Amino acid sequence: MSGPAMGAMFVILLYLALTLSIGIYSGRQSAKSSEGYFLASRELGPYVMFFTLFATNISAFAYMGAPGGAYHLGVGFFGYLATTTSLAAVFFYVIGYRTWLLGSKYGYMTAPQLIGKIYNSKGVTMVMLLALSVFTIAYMLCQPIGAGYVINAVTGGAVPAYVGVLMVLVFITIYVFWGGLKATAYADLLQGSIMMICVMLALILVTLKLGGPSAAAQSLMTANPELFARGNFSIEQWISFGLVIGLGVPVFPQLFTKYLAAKSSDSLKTTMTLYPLAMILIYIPVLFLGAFGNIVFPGLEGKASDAIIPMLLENYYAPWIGALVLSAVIAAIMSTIASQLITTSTMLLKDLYIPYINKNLSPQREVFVGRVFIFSLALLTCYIALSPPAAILTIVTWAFTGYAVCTPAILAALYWRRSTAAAIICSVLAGEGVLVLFMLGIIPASVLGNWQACVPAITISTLVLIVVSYLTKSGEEERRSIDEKHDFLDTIFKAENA
Amino acid sequence: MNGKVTFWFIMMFLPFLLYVDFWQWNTIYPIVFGWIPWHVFYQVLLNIAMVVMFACFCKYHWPKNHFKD
Repeated sequence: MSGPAMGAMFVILLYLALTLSIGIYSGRQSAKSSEGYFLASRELGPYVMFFTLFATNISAFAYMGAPGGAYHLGVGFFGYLATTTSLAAVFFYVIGYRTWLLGSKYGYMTAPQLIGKIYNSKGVTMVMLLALSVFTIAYMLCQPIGAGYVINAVTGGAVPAYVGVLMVLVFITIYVFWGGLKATAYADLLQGSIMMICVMLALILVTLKLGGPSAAAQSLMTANPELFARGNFSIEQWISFGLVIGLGVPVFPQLFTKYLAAKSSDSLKTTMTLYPLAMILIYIPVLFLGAFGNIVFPGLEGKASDAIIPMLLENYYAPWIGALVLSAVIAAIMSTIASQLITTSTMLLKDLYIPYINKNLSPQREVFVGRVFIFSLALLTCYIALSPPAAILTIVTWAFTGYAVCTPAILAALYWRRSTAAAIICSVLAGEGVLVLFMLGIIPASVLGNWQACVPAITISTLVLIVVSYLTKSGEEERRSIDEKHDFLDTIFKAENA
Repeated sequence: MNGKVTFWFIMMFLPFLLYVDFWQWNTIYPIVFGWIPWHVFYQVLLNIAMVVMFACFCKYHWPKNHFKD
């Protein structure tokens, strides 16, 4: 390995070691109880909550796919990515607060458990578990590929991509395994900060070399004026994407885990308020860097532009500076995988293992079984990330739509007493069914014109929810359970708004 | 829904409508600060407006949980 590559590797290892130390230190007391391990004892304060939610949501896509997209489509991508994600913050109140209230009162620990218990229905829990976990696991399996790619790039190819994948996964697994959600959340505090600071640093460093942002913009306007306009986007795409992100992001199961782990409503309030600001701080730098990439590296084709930020840094600066800035990418990847690991293992434990395999599992043993799931999922992730099958990549492409079609059912569970368990199940199955028909090409995408499949899928899931709710009637047990949860919520919401 | 709830419902829904700024789809000028085209700056302003609106919502409307808050 050459000297510059060793410098880059040293910076990355230093960053990984720092993350690991914070994770292990903060999570040292967590494993004493099930709630402590899986939900950080429901003690996540406002700023930890903000950073962990932010870091969890921002994945490798923000640093690779987004600038790559801006390289080809222009800076108009900002509204498409940042504003849509900010809009999702509305649901931190609409879904998050009610979830937190019910979780605090009844001790729920996962999204499928919460929705299922509202209707006292194992069928609802199982359908929600299937719908949410398929996309989450597929998404998690593909994330480390980006880490391998980045580490390979900043070390000039000296460290093979598979070593990068293994390194990142080993570090994540250790701190998640050791400290559960608390370790994940506190590591996210560091990772979220790094993600914001480093990407702004990258914009400053690159634009300095281009003569400042105005000069860079002028050069781009002269060479590629279309990258400053929005001709590459249609209104239909714009609305479709707003629906997918606005409705899909707030029901990520890893976000539900965070809603449930909030210390008080202040944690959700702070997160909701600061979230749009964070989107500006992340997406303005990455998208302008992507577009400015055309000045230095014109003519890149396809996915080659995904590496535009590492390429720009490598072009102007020593590899260790590139590695320092690209720690942000690794931070984004690690924080997303860590949250997905702990959330998926909690769902498998609470919604599958305990109800169907070992009903008498003691609370002390829950942490042990949860750790077995974490370790197994990490091994699976490692295996898949080193050679991802095409089917997994296809599922990931459709993941956001897959989440978004669950949103009408989740909103009904939290707001609509008339909804029934049968309607929730039918709504999710119908929505996901439409999505599968488009995914397999049975319904050709061409029938949609410029619209995306999320529009018919969400429409169908909503219609099915309403129609089946009116056609079916809750049983006595189900009705009692629904009324109990809604009566509790009414004591807070109706009293306040009376 | 009473007046207060209706007001906040509209306020929460408004950004979803304002996000689809079809009336200025390709309005590049003015270039703000010499490098941000107008349609991007508009979206930045919309995000800032959301920060202010969410802050007001949390302060004035977010219902208290009398059991825990």
